[in-house]
Amino acid sequence: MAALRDEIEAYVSHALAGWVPPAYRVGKLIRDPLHGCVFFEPAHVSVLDCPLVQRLRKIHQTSLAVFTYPSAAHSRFDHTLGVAHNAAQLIAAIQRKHPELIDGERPLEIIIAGILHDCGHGPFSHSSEELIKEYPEIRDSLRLDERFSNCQDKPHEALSYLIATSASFRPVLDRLADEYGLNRERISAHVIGNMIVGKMDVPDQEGYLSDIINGTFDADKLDYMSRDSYFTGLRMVVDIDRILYTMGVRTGTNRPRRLCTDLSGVPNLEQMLFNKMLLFSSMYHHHKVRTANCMLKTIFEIIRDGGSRYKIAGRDFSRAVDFLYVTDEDVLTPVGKRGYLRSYIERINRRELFKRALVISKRTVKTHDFRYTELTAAHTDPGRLRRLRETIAKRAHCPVYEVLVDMPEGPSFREASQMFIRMPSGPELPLSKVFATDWWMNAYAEVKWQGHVFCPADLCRKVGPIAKRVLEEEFDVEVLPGAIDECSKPDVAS
Amino acid sequence: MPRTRASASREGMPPHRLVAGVLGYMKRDRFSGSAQDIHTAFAGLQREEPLLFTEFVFSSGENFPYSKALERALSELMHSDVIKAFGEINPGYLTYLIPVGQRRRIRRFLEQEYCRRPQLLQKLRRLARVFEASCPPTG
Repeated sequence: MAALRDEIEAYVSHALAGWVPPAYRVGKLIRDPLHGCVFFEPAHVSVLDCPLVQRLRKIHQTSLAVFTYPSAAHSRFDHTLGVAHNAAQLIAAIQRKHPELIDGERPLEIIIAGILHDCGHGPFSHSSEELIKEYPEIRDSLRLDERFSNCQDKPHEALSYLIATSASFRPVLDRLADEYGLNRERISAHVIGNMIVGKMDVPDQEGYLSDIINGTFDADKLDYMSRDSYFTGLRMVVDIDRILYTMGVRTGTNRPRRLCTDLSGVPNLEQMLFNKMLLFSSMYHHHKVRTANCMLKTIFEIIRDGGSRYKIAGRDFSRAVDFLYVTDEDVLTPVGKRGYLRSYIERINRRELFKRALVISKRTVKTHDFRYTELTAAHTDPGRLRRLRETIAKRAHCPVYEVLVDMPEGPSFREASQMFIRMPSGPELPLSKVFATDWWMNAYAEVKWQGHVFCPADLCRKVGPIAKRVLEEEFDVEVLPGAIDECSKPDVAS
Repeated sequence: MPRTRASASREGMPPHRLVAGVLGYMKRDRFSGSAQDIHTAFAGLQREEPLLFTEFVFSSGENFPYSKALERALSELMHSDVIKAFGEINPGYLTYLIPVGQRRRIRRFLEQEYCRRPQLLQKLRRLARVFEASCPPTG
């Protein structure tokens, strides 16, 4: 943990070298296609100008989904603006009902947390995150540091925390305080970091503060669902105004102070969860999106296997922090790359995405017992996945980088069991008792979930049958012919 | 880039096998509870055998101790029909059935895979007893 903190310290120091937060006399009005004209206070604009945040302009919010949904070219920076705006709206909604709960410099701390919440993302957002979480220093931090217990699958939150609480970032906060006449002591990097990882020091007293940034229906979710659906063209409705109106804080003795909603707000939350499922089936798990995601990850695998032969922007990715030094552009530019790595990257740039050679699902695998669990849980063991790919590639006489096995993780509806609903009378209930997300999850797994074996188009005929046999041997399952046949059927969404 | 981890290098065992083991060694074929009951019960098991549950992190400061790894493991087991969930009136409180054949299959798998670690299997049997006491067949 100490080593990771030192590495983050070096990164922040490098990123902020020579930068002085500009001071603004007036705020700025920024136009956003979702939220309209959004006003940012001068202090907020100073933080937005920070190179750690500006870097997010060069990171796609939805990775290479842009190859499938051409207008989904929005960036993490756009999303950051939306989160800051939603956080301000949530603050105002809480202040209307409980003015005593958010005062002093607290609103600024919350907005800064919103602005910094994604600065720990690597290139292509969640695509690189799938790799980052496997680094020993990250795994150990997430597992052993109690502070990070809420961000198990989201190491970028832990990295954002470490950035926000680094000694090199502290002068930025101090300068903000000095320039805008605020109290230095009352802008706490520790509190900002806690909001980012969704864990306040005394959750029962101040949990509602982190709920705004990292909670069950937080400013982040309210923005990404609207934004991802808007920019992909997938038609969804998130009634943010109504959600804000019904949102409040649980108060009273012996009741943890957390965000909650009225019963009248439930349909809007249901709508959000429904949207989440749609985003998974239509975008995040779209087979073309998954292919592109796998190919991106393979770039870093090639770098690893090449020893010191390959680098991106001078980084060899021996440490997780290396991902923070690079952006999407650094990864996909062929300039400075050579050999197989360069040709692989050029294929991605030309959108020569791999095709499906095998579909793994409940339809295409006859065996439905613990052996199928072993197969679908293979994604939790990258070593095992790699060995599978090596076996298939060896039999197909092609490089291991041409055979990609993908077992995506299904959607979680954790929100339903963590969000409390204020009933007209009687005790509050978790959202999961009001409607049945469990059945949704089962139906998703039953019908929509698919794993794949991908390979270049000209290898599909060869790799499909080989992959089928290898999976049957390795997992003792029966894979049906449909696993290969489904690959050649046109997909309406593609 | 770090070398990827393999299941053999884990101190404990992969989450889906651990959860399957606890459920597979139960004497009963069913248990009931809400997400809160089940996560709380497994958080208790982790306190009993921390070295076995190294892959599980239960969040604190939430409404209940929640583990992403546990949710994922349960979901994978349901996905495979190893566990079947059913409920009537209250969607947040379900009964989970692990049919006899599925339990036999789990035990056979684990006993082959971990035949050199009988103590581990013994621990699973004991944890199954504890879990049964936490999540009875009906509420």
